[in-house]
Amino acid sequence: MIDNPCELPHLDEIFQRLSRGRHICAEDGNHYHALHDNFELYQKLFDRLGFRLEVHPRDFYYFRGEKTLSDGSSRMALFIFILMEFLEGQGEPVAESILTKEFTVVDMPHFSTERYRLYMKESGIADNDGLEGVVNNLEKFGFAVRRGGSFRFRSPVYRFFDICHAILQTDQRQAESEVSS
Amino acid sequence: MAINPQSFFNFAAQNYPLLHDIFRRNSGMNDAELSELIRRHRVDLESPAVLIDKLINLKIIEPLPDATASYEMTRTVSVLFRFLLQEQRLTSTAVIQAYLDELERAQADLDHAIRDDKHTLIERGLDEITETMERIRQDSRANREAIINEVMAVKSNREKRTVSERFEKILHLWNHYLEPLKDLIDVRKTMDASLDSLERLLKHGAEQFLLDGVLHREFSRCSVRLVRLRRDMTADFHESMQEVEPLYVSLKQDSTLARGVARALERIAKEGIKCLNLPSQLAIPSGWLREGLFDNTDVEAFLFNVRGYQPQEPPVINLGTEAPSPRFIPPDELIDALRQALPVGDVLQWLLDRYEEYPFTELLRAYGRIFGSDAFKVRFSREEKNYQLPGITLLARPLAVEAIP
Repeated sequence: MIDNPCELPHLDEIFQRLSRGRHICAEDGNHYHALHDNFELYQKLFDRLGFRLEVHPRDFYYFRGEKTLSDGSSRMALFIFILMEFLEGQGEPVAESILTKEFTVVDMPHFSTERYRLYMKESGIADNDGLEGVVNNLEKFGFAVRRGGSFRFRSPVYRFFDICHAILQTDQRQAESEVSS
Repeated sequence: MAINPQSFFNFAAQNYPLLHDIFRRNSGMNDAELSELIRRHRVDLESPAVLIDKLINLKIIEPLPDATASYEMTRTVSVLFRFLLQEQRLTSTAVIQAYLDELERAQADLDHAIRDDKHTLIERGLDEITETMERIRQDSRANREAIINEVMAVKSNREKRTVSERFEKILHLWNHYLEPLKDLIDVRKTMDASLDSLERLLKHGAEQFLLDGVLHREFSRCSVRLVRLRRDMTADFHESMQEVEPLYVSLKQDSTLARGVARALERIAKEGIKCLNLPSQLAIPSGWLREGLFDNTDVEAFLFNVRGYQPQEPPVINLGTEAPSPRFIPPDELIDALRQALPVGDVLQWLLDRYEEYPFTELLRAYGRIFGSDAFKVRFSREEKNYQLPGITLLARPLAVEAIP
């Protein structure tokens, strides 16, 4: 039983990582286990310090920022949305492919069609170097991990799936309210 | 004209590749195409016309109803091929339901025949029931094979169909074949009650005709077939569910994701990326130690409020004409004054006389300083003395001080 919050295991490193926007999942070993075993204590402590610790149903942890949010979120989301649509068009199982496949930046579809190029232009990404920057951000926040020249996604990528579900639900609700009115 | 089964199967064995090709031509073929097909497989034949006649006579092919000199494989042989090639087609549950209705009707007829003790009608009734049960069983098994084939095709996705298209296929299977089939085998539904009733009737018949060897045996066989039908239908359903359900769940999830992504990209294309408000949806902190502190907006708002502020002259503080009341006796001044007054026989009285207007607490502090000072030689008197102060009476031994020799 830990009475003193300062005795929470790996407190310094966990705080440093979470406050930088990183998502901590089972792949993060000790940090994940420390949060998993003492979630309520961590949550209470961080709450006192003005930070909101969240646990996702897919079993990973992150801080929900309120005031100063990452500018890279839109680019990361757009990067993943395009990749998901491309995989769907190829007849691949979307979620399974995103979670299990290894990808390389040079094979990304983001500049393969005029429509995708327009999306990229909209988000200010001009070339593969820009995509590299997005992958770096994905890695920084714990959504992906690089291995050699390739990268793969980690379970926190579910946060982008959640956005897709939320968009669809909002649309459905709007459609239902239009029908009922 | 009746077909000799042995001739049929001999012909089929000799011409299997040709029959297989005809089977694959779902939409039929004209005379020229069929002749070409026959020449390809039977180079020894002088004229294909003889073989075409043979195919028609054995009822392997028949003319198409909407075209002259065109043929298609007969349904009976097609069904046989599909069975042999494990390519069964799905039978809708409406057809199975029709069989079940037929079974109920046959059951009612059998019931009457048993009551009337009419052996011929009983035998006919049992035949009808057996025939219908076997059809249901075969169709159920064919459905199971067909469903597994569909699932395999959707899984392998050789045609590179999108997730949404594949989900539509599986959804169709789910809604049109599995869900109704589930109703059919559900113990709470009418189908089960109907089969229960048939089982009781067959049992009653077997008991009633216990001494009639032929009828008793027929009732027993029919009962066993009924048990097999129920067992096989349940097994077919569960097997089909096991194949379809995981694919249904995963495709449903993927389909939702795909539709969500398509909607997101559509909105970005029309309204720009900011319309989705992604930074606040993801709410990822931008950097450490920026959360929980003042942000620029707060500071800017504060500075905005103080911008243009002109400080005014501070108000003059009037000290007034009266001298401030004494509160503190500087230690150096105290020691110097006492040194000049030495020797002093009663320090407290000296303090009360000299610093009359000072608070008593400050006099006691001064008394303590003198007592603790190294600058004097101190000594207490043997006699006690009463000191009368405003509101206070103090009893103490007077303290005398003198210079250190």
